Amino acid sequence: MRQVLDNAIALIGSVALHGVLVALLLINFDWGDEPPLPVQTTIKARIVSDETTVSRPAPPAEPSAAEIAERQRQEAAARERRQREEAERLQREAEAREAEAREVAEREAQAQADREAREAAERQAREDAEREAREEAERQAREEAERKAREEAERQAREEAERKAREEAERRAREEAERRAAEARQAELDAQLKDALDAELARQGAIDQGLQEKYIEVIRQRVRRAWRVPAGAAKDIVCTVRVRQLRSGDVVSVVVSDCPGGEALSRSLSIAVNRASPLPPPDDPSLFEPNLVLRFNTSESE
Amino acid sequence: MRHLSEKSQKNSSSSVAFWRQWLVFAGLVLTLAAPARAELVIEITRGAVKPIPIAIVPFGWAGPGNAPGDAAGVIRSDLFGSGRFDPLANEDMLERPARGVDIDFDNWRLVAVDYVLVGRLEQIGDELALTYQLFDVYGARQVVADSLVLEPRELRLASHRVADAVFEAITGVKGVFATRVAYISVSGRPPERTYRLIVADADGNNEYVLLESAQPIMSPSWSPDGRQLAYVSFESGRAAVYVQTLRTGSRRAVSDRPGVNNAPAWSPDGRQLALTLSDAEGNLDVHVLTLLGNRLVRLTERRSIDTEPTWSADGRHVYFTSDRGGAPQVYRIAADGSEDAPERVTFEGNYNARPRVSPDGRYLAVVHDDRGRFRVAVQDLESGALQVLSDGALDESPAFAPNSAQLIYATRREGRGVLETVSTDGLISGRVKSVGNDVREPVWSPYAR
Repeated sequence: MRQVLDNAIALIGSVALHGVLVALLLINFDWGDEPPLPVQTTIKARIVSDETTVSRPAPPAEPSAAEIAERQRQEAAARERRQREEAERLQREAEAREAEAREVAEREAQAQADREAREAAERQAREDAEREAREEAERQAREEAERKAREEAERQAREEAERKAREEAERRAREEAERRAAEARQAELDAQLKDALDAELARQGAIDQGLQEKYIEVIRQRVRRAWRVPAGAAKDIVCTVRVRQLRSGDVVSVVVSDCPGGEALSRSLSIAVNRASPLPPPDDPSLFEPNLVLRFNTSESE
Repeated sequence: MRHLSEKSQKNSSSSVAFWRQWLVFAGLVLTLAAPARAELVIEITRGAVKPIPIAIVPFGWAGPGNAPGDAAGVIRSDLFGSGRFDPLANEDMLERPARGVDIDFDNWRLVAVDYVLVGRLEQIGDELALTYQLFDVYGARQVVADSLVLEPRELRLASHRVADAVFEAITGVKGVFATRVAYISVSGRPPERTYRLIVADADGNNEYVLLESAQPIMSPSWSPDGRQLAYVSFESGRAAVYVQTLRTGSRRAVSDRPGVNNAPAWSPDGRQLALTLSDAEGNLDVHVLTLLGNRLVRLTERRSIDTEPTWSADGRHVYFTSDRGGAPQVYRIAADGSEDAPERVTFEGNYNARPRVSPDGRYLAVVHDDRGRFRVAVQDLESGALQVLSDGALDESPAFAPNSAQLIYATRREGRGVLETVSTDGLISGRVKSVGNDVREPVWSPYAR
């Protein structure tokens, strides 16, 4: 019966202990989202405690002579029994202690485990919280950073856009200015070019004129070289000779006019032109002149 | 000789008259003086830079036998000898037409001649007809043409006439090929010297001796009509001035005064002689002698030497050499003696002497001391500019050709007296090659009138 009681007590105690533990757990922990510790553990322990209670010793009886003998025997037996019981009790106690110890140890281990589990949970929770907090902080920081970055980026983008816009505007303005300057420069250049061109044209014209003069002078000199001034011609008599020539330079006609030196002088010039025929062509064919007016002075002959 | 065609001969009638007279004269001369071989041949030493190319086609001959003479050859020689023409060699001619209508001018343009002269001789009875035509090759135009009738012996002279006509048509200057030159020839050694007064055609042909003397003959001067020569002869032992008529050979002393009778010069009108006479003190002065009436006018009266007179072209002044300024220079004084003081004419250099005025009156020829060398120079009487023409060291006695375009003068080459010619513009020089003797004091005849 005692064993049952003991067992009951033990059972009760065990249950109470478990209840306390559970209460403690319930009180001390905000389980949050975490799942409760497994109940299986408690059930298993009750089975173990049941076996321990069975082995606990009963209290000892009074000894007589016979009885003493008996009793001695009995006592011896009893002692032996007691001893045995004692031993058994001790054994049992030992076993109980051991069981208790084991139970305690188990409990402690359980508690330790629970504690550790709790602590672990707590730590876990703390860590989780911390982690969450950290993560939150990190997230916030990240978000903040992201926001800031985004804002910065936006700012930079805005600034960049502004800068670009400004630069674009500046560029456009500059380009416009440059374009205008270039146009002005071009206009200036055009004006200069036109002036230069005009001058060049004028010069070319003059050159052309000079070339033609040169061309005609070449002809004149050729005629002059062919000219035999008559011995009777006075000095410094100037005669005008009108010559018509073909493209080939062949002389078609010669008319000596305004020649106050007599027939011999006029004829000498006509002959000179014919001797010089065909007349030399100009370097530039465009300068060719079919009708020539040449003047000769009787004092210029060799 | 007479012209058949008058179209290019304005003075043909007078020419005919002259040539008639000339023939008479020539015939007389030929009988009086034996023809001498040509002593003078003019060699051009410097011609025109650009002589005029001309073709003188050998003349055609229509008559029996050979032609009596080579008219074209004479003409070619004349024109070439002038230094102003470059006649085409006969072998270079692509054709030999005798008439203008037969000329293919391309043949002459091809050989680059300016002019071509064609002509022909025809026997007409005892006479010859000489016909010539000068063409401008490039213009294919006739420049001058004429036809002359002459006796065969006149052919050479007639040829010179053709050359004169061609020369004048082309150069504008009258030709002098039909003129003559008188000069003094000296041969032998003293005391056996012979002086001759010689007259020859301008080309050196038909030379004959007008006077021959053992005493000096000096200063010949043509009368303006070309019929007489005045000269100084020492044949009487002293200088006297004679006038000799070529045609007749007759002569007379026109100035045989005591002292010096020197340097006669005919006035342009032929009626007077300017000459140098000495007075009792031996002072030389210029005088003018009027031949008809033998009237003498003294022009200069200084104690200086005044000599070598010559006439201005218009006959109003006499130019002479005087040392009154210290050195010989040329002065001019009125020929009628109306001026007391002559006017100095030459100023360049310190020696200008022996003046001669060109027939056209434009130039005065002098002997000029050109840095120690006596050279012929001409002074332009209008501008006063003096131009030295000759290049010798002892050039003397310049005389103008009647066309005023040329001068003949005497100089010494290799120790002998020779004659040279130079054009008035100085461009053309010639040398008269004489054979053997010293020749000096040349004087060109006037145009035949």
